Amino acid sequence: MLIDRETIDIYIEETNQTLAEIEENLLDLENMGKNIDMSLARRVYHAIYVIRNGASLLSLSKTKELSQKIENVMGLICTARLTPNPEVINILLQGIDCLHQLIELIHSNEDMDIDEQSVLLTGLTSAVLPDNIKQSVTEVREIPLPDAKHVFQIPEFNIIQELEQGKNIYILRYDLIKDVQEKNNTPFDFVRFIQQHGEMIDSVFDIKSIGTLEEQELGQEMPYFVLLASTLSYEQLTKSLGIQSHQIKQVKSEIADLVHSSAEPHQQKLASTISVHDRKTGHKRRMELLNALSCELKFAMDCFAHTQDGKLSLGKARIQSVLDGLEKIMHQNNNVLASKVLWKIGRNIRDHAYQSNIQVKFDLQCGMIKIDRRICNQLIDPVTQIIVKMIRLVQNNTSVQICLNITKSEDRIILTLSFSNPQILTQEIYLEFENEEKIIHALCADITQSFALSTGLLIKIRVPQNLFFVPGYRAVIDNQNYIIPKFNVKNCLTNLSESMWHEKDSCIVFDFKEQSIPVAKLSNTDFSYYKNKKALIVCEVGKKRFGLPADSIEMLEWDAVCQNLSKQEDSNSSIAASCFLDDGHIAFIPDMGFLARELPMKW
Amino acid sequence: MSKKVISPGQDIVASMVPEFKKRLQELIVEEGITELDIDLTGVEMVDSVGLGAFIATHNTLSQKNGKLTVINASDDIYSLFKTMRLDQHFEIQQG
Repeated sequence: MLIDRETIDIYIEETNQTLAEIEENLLDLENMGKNIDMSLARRVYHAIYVIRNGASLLSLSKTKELSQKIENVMGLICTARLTPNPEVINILLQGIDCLHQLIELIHSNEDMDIDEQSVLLTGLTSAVLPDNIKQSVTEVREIPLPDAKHVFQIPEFNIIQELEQGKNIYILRYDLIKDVQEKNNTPFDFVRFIQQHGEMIDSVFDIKSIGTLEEQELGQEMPYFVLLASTLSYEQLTKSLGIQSHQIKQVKSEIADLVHSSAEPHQQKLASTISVHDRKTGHKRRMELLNALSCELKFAMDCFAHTQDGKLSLGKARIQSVLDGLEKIMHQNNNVLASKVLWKIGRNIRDHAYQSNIQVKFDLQCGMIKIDRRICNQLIDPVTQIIVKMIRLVQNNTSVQICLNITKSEDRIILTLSFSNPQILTQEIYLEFENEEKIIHALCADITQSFALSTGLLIKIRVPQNLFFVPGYRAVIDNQNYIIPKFNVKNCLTNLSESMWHEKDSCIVFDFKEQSIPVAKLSNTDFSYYKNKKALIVCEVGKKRFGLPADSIEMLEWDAVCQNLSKQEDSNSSIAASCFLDDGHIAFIPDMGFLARELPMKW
Repeated sequence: MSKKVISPGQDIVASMVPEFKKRLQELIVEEGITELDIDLTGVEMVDSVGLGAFIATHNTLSQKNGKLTVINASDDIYSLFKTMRLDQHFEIQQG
């Protein structure tokens, strides 16, 4: 398999963490003005480079394109050709925000428009480059293939960036029948093998040689060309890929002028100054910690298995140390200083003020209070919208001051929004915030507003400090929304036909790939109910695999916040919890363990 | 314009490709289908010969001003087709 779901999930997790670090580093850079810390700038450059490489491996075209453009700008900062002033940082932060959103949308095909960010970043790059390479940002270079029938068209600046990193550009020629199929290799493994040797800038099939369905004599070969950027020399690459000299050509004359541009004396070869392995990723660190904890747990289990009653306290202590460690990891992962995330509200307000041509001062007071990162991220949009509505209440004033104060009570974090000058409102007035309220309720939080002459309008959002999140996929079953926990979902089958369902050994089963999958029952209905279902979510609990019939499933990951069940819902054993979704719908979380247990013993 | 969805329902590999190509040929050449959706539900693997079948189908349909769309591709297959830039020749939709 080229890319499994786990790899993508690891990429999402690592990238989200890296992006959060980049945001912090960019803000630090902004405060440094012209005296920037180059090592910090390089760290950001390297971090974004890692994100781009991952996106390239996973074929996330938009993520790759946008991170490439951010990398270009960071490259200019690292070589002192661009000063990270607030305007530059603002554009970079918008790009990072956009990357965050793309990462959220990985499972839905990055369905998002990035044109605006792309143009802003390209403009930034183009504006500061010397005249001789300024055009490279928008110019496309044509690199003809040896067969002269096809041409690669690549933005010149991308080639320059690869050359600046000390890479050589090669054209590789493969025949997918002779070089892959006849060697019992799959296209998946073949592509992965190539990607291990460099970056696939582009590739093309000679589709005419493959012919049509009627042309049986054609199709005996499948010429496939790859444009590869690699740090390896011609000899090293030829040997390492195991190809012959007629299959590889180093691109030189076609890009000779770009080589010259990239070798300007004032430019540094960034790749050579930054070690790819200079720091461990957050994921690796966590894996090391988890490995250490699992060893500790094994010791504890051995302790219970082989020692006398009197020594049980030792085992208990060991287990406690594992639990403490796990809690620490959870704490490290999700609890962040509120200020490190909620500053984005200030930036959104600044953008709004700029567009509306009014002056807004936004004061964020949150001290060292920490909140779960996922809650913080979910709060940014609704709080921004509420502040925009507050600003509109006093739009006759050209200058508005709004304060967001965050305090901590026993089990809740309280966000209080108010005007710094309460007298700005001369009469009692309240806001309509139905849509924002839905999002806030989805976090198990509540929102209230009050008005007094002395305090003016006060809006309070109370968020629980500890929430139980379930990452999962949204499914509709009998017109009711469900969140199916992600870790139980193994596959999802859609467009099912009636003939694939039947009854076997007092159980309804679904035939898929010569296997019979037992079907779990959410309600006691007859066979015809199941065969009308259009989707089947293949789930796994322990070693038990079963299908959950659904009308539809949305393979977009949700972080659902579990809530207590009401009394009525509690009577249904197949439901573990309920949650609000931020579009205002209520969803249930099935008790997957219960569903698995209810299957007949045979299964 | 006549449209049809074909669902192979199994991995598209060398052993099944001759029969699959024959079916595709019947649809396009004999039945005159010009808009063809290949539904990859249940398909987990496509080998080089299978890739060739997609391209040959695209070439055949192009000659008749038709259109090939691959639907419900698994994450892996979608990613492979994108990496190999096959999305520049015909539309590929993820499942």
